[in-house]
Amino acid sequence: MSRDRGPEGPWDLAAIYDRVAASLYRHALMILADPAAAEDVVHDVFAALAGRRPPDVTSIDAYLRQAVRHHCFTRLRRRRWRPPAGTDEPALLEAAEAATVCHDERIAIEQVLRSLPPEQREVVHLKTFEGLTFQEIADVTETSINTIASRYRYAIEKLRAAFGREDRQPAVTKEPR
Amino acid sequence: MIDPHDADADVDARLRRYAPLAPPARLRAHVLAPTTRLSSSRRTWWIAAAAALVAVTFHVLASATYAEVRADISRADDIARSQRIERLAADLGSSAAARAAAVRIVTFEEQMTDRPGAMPENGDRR
Repeated sequence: MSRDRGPEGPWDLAAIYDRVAASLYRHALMILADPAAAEDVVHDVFAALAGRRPPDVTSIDAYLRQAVRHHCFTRLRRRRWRPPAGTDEPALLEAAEAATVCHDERIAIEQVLRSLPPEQREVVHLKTFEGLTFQEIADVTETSINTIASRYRYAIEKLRAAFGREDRQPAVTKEPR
Repeated sequence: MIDPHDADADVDARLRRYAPLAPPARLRAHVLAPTTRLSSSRRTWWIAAAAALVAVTFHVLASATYAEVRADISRADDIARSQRIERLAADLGSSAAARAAAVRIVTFEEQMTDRPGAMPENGDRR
């Protein structure tokens, strides 16, 4: 497995950042449901990597992902905080490329995502947006595959219910692109 | 009846029309130049250091004030003691022997006063 540093040299932080930071940020964002907190977490993880001799790991990407997860859940435990549902909250999602979307639908999805426990939000993110299998998610989160499947099932049921309510409402506002 | 798997696929398809936000561009600059922004652990360290500095400063100031007050009290005690000895020496005849006796009496009273209950005030013996 490739290493991102020479035998004596430091990490090539810029290369690592460019390769994994976006994915790590999105992961943190979906766990915390708070863009500013996600930014803090990613910054702190990279700052820790830059500030000391890194651990002897075979995959720095996996190490960083675990570090981000650890920071996120530690932060959630410390604050005993849950993101409130509401339209004034900062956005979590943006339109995927070439997708026709509507503002109301995005707000509705974000509200449901915010109402989910962070663990369920994380599974939805890794399954739907990152495209991982349940087994891969179980490996990343060090959780049993049955638990992962259950979390995904609960989250999808809540989203389905929200979509059902939304489909019965006629108002649709086009998303400004 | 709607097949749950179809419903799940619909939910999944709707979700895939969106993606979590990308990190802000400023984050890269912050990460690659860590001195531009303090990490949370360092912020915590500075807060703790500032709190400790405030506590030490307060302690030093309080100690200095306490020492000044103690010195003032001590000076006042010395003046009162001298005046008492002078009055007592005058009552005893103002001689050198009278002054020495006055010093012994005042010293004896002070020693008795330092032992609570050893000498009733105002000669009130019951």
